[in-house]
Amino acid sequence: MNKIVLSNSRPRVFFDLELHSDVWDKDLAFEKGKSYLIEAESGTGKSSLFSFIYGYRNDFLGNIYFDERNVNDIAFKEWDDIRKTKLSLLFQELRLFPELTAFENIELKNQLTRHKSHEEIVSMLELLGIGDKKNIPCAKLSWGQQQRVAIIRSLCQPYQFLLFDEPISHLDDKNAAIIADLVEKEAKAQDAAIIVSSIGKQLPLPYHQRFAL
Amino acid sequence: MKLVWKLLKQNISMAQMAGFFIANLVGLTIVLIALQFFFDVNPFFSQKDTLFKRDFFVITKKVGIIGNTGFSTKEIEEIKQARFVKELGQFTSSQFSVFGGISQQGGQSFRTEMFFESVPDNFIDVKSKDWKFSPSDTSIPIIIPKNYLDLYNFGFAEARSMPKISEGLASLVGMDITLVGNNNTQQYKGSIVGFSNRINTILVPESFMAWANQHYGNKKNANPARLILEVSNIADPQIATFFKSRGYEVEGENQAVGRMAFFMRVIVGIVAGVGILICALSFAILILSIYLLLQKNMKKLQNLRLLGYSKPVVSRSYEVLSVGINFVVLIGSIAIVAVLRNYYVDTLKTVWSNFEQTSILRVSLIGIAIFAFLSVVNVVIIRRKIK
Repeated sequence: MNKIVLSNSRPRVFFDLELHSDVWDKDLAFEKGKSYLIEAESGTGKSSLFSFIYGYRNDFLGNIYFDERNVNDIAFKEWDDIRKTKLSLLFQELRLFPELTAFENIELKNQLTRHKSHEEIVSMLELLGIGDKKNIPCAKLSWGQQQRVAIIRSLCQPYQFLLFDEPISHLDDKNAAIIADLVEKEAKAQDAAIIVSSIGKQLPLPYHQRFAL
Repeated sequence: MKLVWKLLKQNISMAQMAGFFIANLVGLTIVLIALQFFFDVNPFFSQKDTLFKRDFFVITKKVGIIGNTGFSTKEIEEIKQARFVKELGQFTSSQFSVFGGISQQGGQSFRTEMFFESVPDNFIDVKSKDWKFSPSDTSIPIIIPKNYLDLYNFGFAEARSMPKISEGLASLVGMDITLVGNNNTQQYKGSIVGFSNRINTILVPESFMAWANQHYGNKKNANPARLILEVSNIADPQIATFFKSRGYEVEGENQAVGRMAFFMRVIVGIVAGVGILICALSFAILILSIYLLLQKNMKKLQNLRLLGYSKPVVSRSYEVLSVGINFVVLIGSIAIVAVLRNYYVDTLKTVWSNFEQTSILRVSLIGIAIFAFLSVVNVVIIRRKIK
């Protein structure tokens, strides 16, 4: 999968609104190897965009393509594979399992992909400053700590597109810089695209293109 | 997989699972024990006893005020067509006068008017090499009911303290038979060649009867008053209904056996029905608990799916859970059946010496079939519920 193409698409709930957007109703492509920033105010459909691309909602008008393939034509089973090997999404709401520990949450994904070794995961936890929270259930972590767990989890798989929905909304600049560094390095290793959304704080990356949603 | 299970086992209600387990165990055990009992006891009603290799009925028409006209050709045809009738034989009565007597050494003798009947040879339960007749013979082989001998031995002789007569001794008694009819009179010797348990009449070979009726008979082709039937399954409840609706009377105890078999089937049917009902209800409990569980864990299931866990992997935990419980229930109920069975087997043996202990294999297979059915339905429901 080399590019994600949006063609004249918009969320169905916006069907009768007049939109001034760089993304909705436009033809644009996200390409492998590049990084993109989508800036938006809340309520403009940022998370919706990611859910359309990640294939768990399809209430949009227009078309979204993976290369030449319309996402609406992709079968259920194929999505399992896409989510394991092609797309990685950091959910804005994280979707961690509160009853599992930080490490178990990451391991749950890594078991599926066998992408990182135990040591690599531990060193990423250390790097992001939550090495000591490894065995603590996520329910007991702060949102900022959980965000870091979820970011590590999203890196534990092969991907061509890394989708980050407000990755640093609850993190300080120092952490943001460490994460930006890690993510850039990881994405580069896989020659993957990074698409980041933000409502204010931005993950500091050398973006190739910025959109206002 | 361990982590997935750690997640999905949340919200499993032990009480609900235990409720299902116990209910289903009771239900399945009732179904299986009812069937096992049926399989054990059924041969008693339907299997060919060693004494009677085949099952026979002798039927007559009810004797009315204007007498008994016997069975017409049409009626016989209808009986022959009945599903349960394997073979049908007609009783042929003697159409001439028969006098029998015993003359003793020393002058004392007695003489009585009597009758003969005959049935086709294959209906007779006595095998004898003397059971044949040709017109040149001067002796007629005769079979009398075992009842007659029993009546003498256990009734008369017992009361009068007289010696009992064995079958062998009785066979030695020479009878004088006189046939009179059609202006002919002829003297014969009669010899008892056997005693019949099945047929309650004085029998002579069919070949003799045909010949004698021709020679001494006065009317031709009278309707037979009695028929003998070989039936395919004595426990068939249809038999009794068939005869009753046509006003035929059945001799012998076999009819009672048929009725008993019928009631046993009804009772086993009711018991098994209750078992199936309990099974069905307990199954509903399981389904509801799983629905509830899925509903409570729906968000977890969705998130697992979004992480890239495929549907089969996500649903496997619950499939293994429900199939596992079903399996334990299966093993448990087969074990209980094996134990409970010992209690009635001893009782059965005392009333029925020929009781042969069959294995519980058949019932186990039925249990496995029920288990497989429930499990498949379980799995289908779970897979449908998980998106």
